[in-house]
Amino acid sequence: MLDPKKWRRFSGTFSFSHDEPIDFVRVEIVADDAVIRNENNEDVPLYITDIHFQAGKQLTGWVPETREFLRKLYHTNDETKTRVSVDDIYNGGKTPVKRTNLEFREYNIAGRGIEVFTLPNWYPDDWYVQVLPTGVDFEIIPKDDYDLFRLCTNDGSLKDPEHYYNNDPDHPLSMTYTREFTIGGGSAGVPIKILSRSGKAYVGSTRLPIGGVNSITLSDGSNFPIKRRSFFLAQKGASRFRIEFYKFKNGILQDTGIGYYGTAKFNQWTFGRSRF
Amino acid sequence: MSGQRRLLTWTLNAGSQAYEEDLEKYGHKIYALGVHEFQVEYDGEIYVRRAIPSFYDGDNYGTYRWGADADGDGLPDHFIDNAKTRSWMSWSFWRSIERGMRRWSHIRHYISFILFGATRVTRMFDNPAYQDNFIENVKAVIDNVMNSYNYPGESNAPYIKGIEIDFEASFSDSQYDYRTGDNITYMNILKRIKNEVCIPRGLALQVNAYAMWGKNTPFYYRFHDYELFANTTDSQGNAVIDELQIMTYDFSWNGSSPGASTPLWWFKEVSDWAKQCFGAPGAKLTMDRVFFGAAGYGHRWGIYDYNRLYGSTITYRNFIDWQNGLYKHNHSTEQIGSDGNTIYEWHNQEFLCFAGIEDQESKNQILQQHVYDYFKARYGVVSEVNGSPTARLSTYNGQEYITTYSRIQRSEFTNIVAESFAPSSTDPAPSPSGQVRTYNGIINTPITIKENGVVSTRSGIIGYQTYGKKWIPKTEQGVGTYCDLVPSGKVTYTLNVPSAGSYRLIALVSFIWYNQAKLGCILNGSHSFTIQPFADYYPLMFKASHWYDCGVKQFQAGANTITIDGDLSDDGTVIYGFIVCEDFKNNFSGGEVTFKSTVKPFKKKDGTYASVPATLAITSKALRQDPIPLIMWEDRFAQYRRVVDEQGNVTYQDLPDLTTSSYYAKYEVRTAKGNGDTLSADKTYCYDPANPTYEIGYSWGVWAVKQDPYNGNPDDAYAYWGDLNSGGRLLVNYEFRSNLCVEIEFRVTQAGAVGIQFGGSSGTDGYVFVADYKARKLRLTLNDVVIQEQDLPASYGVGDRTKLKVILHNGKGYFYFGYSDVKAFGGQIFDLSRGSGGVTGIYANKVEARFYVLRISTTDKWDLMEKFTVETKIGGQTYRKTFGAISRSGYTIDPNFGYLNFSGIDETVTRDPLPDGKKPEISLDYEFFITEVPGFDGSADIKVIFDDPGIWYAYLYVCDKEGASVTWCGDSYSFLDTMNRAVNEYGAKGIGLWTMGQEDPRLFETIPDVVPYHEAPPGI
Repeated sequence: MLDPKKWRRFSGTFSFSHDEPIDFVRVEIVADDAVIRNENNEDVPLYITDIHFQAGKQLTGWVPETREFLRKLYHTNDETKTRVSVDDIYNGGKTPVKRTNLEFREYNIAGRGIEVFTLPNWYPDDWYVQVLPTGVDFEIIPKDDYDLFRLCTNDGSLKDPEHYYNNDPDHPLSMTYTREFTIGGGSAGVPIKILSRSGKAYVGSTRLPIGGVNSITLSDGSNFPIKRRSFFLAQKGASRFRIEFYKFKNGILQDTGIGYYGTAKFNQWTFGRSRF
Repeated sequence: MSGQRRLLTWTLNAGSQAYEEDLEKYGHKIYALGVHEFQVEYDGEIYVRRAIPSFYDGDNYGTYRWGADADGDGLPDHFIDNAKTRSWMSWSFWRSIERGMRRWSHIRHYISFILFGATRVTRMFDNPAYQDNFIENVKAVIDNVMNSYNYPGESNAPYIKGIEIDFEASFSDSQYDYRTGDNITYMNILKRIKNEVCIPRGLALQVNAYAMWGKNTPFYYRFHDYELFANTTDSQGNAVIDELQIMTYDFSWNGSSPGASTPLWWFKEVSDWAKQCFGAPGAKLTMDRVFFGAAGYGHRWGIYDYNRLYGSTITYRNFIDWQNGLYKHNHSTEQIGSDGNTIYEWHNQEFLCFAGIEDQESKNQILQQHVYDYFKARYGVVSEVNGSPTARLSTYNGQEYITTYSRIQRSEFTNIVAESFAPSSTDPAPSPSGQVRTYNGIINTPITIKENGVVSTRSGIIGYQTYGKKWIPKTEQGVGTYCDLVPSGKVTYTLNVPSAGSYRLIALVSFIWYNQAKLGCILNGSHSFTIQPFADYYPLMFKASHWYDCGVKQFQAGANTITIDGDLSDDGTVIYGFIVCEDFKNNFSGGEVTFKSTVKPFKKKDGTYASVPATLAITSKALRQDPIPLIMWEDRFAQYRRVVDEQGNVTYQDLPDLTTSSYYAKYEVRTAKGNGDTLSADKTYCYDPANPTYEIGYSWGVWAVKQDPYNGNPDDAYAYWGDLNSGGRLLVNYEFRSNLCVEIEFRVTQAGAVGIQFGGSSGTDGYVFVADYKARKLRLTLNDVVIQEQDLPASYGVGDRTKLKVILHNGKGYFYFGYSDVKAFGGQIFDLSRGSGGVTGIYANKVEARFYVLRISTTDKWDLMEKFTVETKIGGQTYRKTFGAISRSGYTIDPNFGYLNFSGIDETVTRDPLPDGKKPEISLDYEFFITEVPGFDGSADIKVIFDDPGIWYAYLYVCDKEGASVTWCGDSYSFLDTMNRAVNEYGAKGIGLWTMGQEDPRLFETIPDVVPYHEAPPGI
C-alpha cells in the first residue's frame, strides 16, 4: 500500500505574457535532483499523480480525498504551561486556566484597510500530527462605513488587462484570488459573517446569496463584477487570508484604512482510517 | 538544479527538545551542520563556547580557559589546546552531536571557529604571532575532535567534512574609520587555514560572511571582501573558500525597531552584489557554492512601556503559544520562589488568542498582541495649508512613513479686523515691463487663513512688483535726444479698520531672490517701514508666498492706506496684500496628521468579550533626527527637469545648462542701463558714465541637469560636469554673509577633481576643498595654492557615491570626506583668512561627475528635527503630550521660526546631560513614544502634530497599557520565498538556517531530501 504521508508536492512558478493567448503548455518533468532510491539503495519508481496549474506565486493547501475518513482533533489550552514559578503573581485575579478537550480555536482579528491575516492551523499538543485543511468561520465587524469588502485567500494573480480595476494594474482590485467573497457597501458596526462550516453568510441579519451573483451594485450606483462567492479553508500551518475594505475617494475605490475587528474560528481534523 | 535548494544549519541548540526532534524527523533534508562550539580569543586561544556563561560580556575569555576556576568549584574549567584536554567531550551537547553524526551520516559537519568583536578581531589581525597561534590551535582542535569520545575507538572523520570560520566584527567606532587592509589580512588568514589545515586533512573551508551590498558597504564590515572571497585561490589553484554562507538575517534584531529579520529589499541588494562578485566570469568561488541566510526565530518588542521596548528573541513555537493565548505580558520580580525559580508578575490582562498578520514584503508573520487599533502612516488624514498637504508619504528601505521635509508656515491669526489682497491703486497702471508689474505666483493657489482656529481660504490673489526710478531716452520720432527720469512705481492697498487703535500688520509677500527681497512701505502717507529678511538665513526666502509680521502699527478708524514705493524697495519684490489683526503666530513647523481611531474589545476564550483595558497606551513609531545647520539653499536639481503645462501635467526633460538660471547665473559683465542721465552713443539707453557696466553671476562652464538612471525615478536628477579637458564652477548667485556649512553629494564617473568652493568674493577666488580622483589626493587650496593635502582613502573609487563637507565658522575651517563625521587632514582645523560666508558652490576640473545634492547651511542657527505632539480628546478631556524635545537649558528656540539659537559646529554641547552624565542622543532608528489615556470603547481622533520637520512617522498603535507587543517571525512561507529567490534568481546553493530548533518545522517540507528518510541505525 502506498503511504499517503510519503507523497510530496513540488512546485515552481513561471510567468507568461499577457499579450498573447496560451495555446498549450508542455510540461517536461526531469527527475534530476530527486531521491528515487529507497533506504536499501534500490531504484524505486517515481509516481506522479497530477499536475496542477494555479494562478499566483504561492502554494495553496490541498484538500483530502473525500473518501478519507477524517478524525476531529480536540486540544488542550493550558495557560499554566508558561508559568515560571509556582509563586508567580497574576494581577487582577486573571489566573491561568487549563482547558481540555476543546473543539474550536478562535482568534481575534484587528486590522485596517487591506491586511493578510495568518491563522495557526497547528496542533501544538503533538507538533507533528498531520493536521488537515478545515473550514474557517469569519466574523468581521467594520469600525467605519465602507463601500466594498472582499475576503479572499492570499493566492492570486493579476487579472487580464481588460479587467483591471480603473485600468490600473497596481490597484489591489486588479488582483484575483483562488477564493473570494465580495460584499458591497456597509455600515460601521454591522457584522459580516462568512461561515464555512455551515455554508452561510450574513451582513447583519441579512443572509447573502452564494451562487448566481455575478455583480453587485456599489454606493455610487455602479455595477461591480465579482467572482463566485466561496468559503474558506485553512490548511496546515499558518494559513493566509486577505481582508480588504475599500472606500470611494475621488470616485475610485481605495484602501483608506477602514478599521475592523472580529474573529476567525475553526476546528481541526486529522486522518481517520483510509478506505484503501 | 542539481545539488541546490540545500539546507545548512548549526548545532547551537543541540540538546534542546526542538533541535533533537527536528534532527530526528528531518535530518535527511539537512546538507550540512556547522558545529558551532569553539570560541576564539584575540590571541588565537580557543575555548569551548558552552564553557563561557551566557551572561559573560567581558572582552577576554581568559577567565574561562583551562586551568582557571571561573565557576569557583575548585576544579579547572575546560579549554581546547594542544594539551588535548578532552573532559568537555563528556558533556551532553557533544554526545548529542556525535550521535547526530551517526544518525545521519550524510550530513557534512563543519567545525566552526568563532571570533567576535572588533577589539578581538583587530588585535588578531595586527599580530602575526596571534594568527600563528590560532592556526596551530585549529589544527589541534580538529585533530582532537576527529577521535570520538562517546563512541570509543571510532573516528568522527567520516562525518567531519570541513572547517567553518566565523569572524564577526563591526568597525563602527570612529577609531576604525581610517583602518585599511583588514580585508587582505583576513583573506590571508583564510588562505592559511585552507592550505595548512584543510588541504592536508581533506577538509573543505566554509566561511560565514556579513551581508554586504557593495564594495566596502556597509563600511563597518569592510573586512568581508566578496571580491577577494571570489577570486583568491589556494595552493592547488582552487578557491580558498569552498562554501560561503552570507548572513542575510538579523537586519532587525532585539535592539532595533521591529521589522523583518530578512527584509526583501535588503536581501535583493545583498544578492545583487553577491552575484556581481561570485557570478563574474572567472570567479573561483561561484554562486552555486553560496548559501544565503534565513533566521528561524523571531523577535518580540514591547510597545506599552519605555522599560519594555528592548526586544526578546522568540522561537516559532513561542510565536504559536502567543497566538494561542498561553502568554500574556509579564515581568520578573527578581525574587526567587519556593520552587527555586524566579517569580514573575503577570499583568492585569486576559490570556487572549490573536491571528497574525503577514508582512507582504518579507512574508514574515507579525503578531500584535493586545493592540486594539493601529494605523499605517498612509491612513492618516493630513491637514493642508495653501492647498498643499502639510506632510507627505514616503518610503525608505521598505518602510512607509509620513513626514514634513521642511518647515511650513501654518500661521494663526487672532481677530482679523481688516484685510486687502488687491491694491486700491497703482501708479502707473501695471504693464509687463513697466514700473508696476503683476505677478501670478499664487493665482491658482488657495491661501489658507486660520483665524481663531477656523480655517478659510482666499483665492485668485495677484501679486505686484514695483521698480525704482530710472533714466530712459526721450524719444522723438524713435531716436533718443536726451534722457528723461521715469519715477518709481507705487502700489497702494486700503484697509478699512472699524476702530482706531494698535493692531498687528501682516503682509503676504514673496522674496524671489536675495536681490528681490525688500519692500519699502508708507502707512497713511507718513509712517514708513520696511519689509525685508533679517539675515541671509531668513527661513522663508524663495517661498511662493509667506506671511511677514510687520509689527504693531497705529491704525485710524476707517480707511488706512499702505503704499509700496519702488524707490524704497528691491526691484521685483512681490507684495500680495495685508491683514490687520490683534495677534499673529508664525507657527513655522511641520505638518499635522489625524488618525480616527476606534477601540473595540477582544473576545476571550469562552466566547464572551473582555473589557476594554482601563488604560490605553497610544504609541507612536517615529524616527527623529539630529539637528542640522539651518539650511539656506538646498538643491537636488530635479526641479529643473520638470516642465508643467497649463493643465498641470508634468513632463521631464534634461536642462542643457543650469547657469542660464538666475540661481546659478553665469558670470557676465553687462552694460548698465537707466542708472544715469547720459545718453548712450547709439541713443537707445541712458547710463552713468562712472558706472557704465555691472557684473552678474559667478558660475562658469556648462552644467547640464540630467536624470539619474539609477532607479528610473524622473525626480532623481543630478548636475553634470563632463568636460575632461577643462574645469568649471557651479556657484550660487549670492555672496553669503553667515557662517557656512556646505555639502555636496556626488559620484565621479571618470577620474578627475571635484570639490567645494567657498570663502571667496568672485567665481575664481577663494578656497576649494578638492577630492582629486586622478591624483588620489584630498586637498585644500586657496586661489590654486595648496594649503594641505592627504591621500584619498583607497576605499573611495570611481563610481562610488560619496560626500564632501566644509564648515567655515568664525574663521575656522573644518573638512570632511565621505559620510563619516571624522575630520579629514588628520583632524586638522584650519585658520582661514575669511571669517564667514562668501561665494560658494561646486568645483569640477577635468572630470566626469554627477552632483546630486548641493546644500548650503549656516552654523549660526540649528534646525531641530526632534519633537512632535500627540493630542486626543476622551470624555471631554484633552490629552496632549509632546515627545522628543531635548532639554537645552542654556539656549533658546526662536519663537517665530523654531530654530535653535546656537552658533557653533557641535550642537551636542547645547544638550543638558542626563542623570548618568551622558549627553542625550537621537537614535538613528525608529523609536516608540508612548502616552497614556483612559480606556474607551468607541472612537476618538488622535492628532499628531509635527512641531519640527524631519520626523518620520511610521505607525500609531492604540494598545493595552498593561502590556502590548509587536512580534515578527519568519515561517515556512518566508523561508520558501527566500529559498526560491536565492536559488531561482541568484543561482545559490541554498539557505543557511540560523538555527535549527527555533524554526517553523513546516519549512523542512519545502525542501528536497538529501537522502531518503531512514530509521536510525542500530545502536544509535
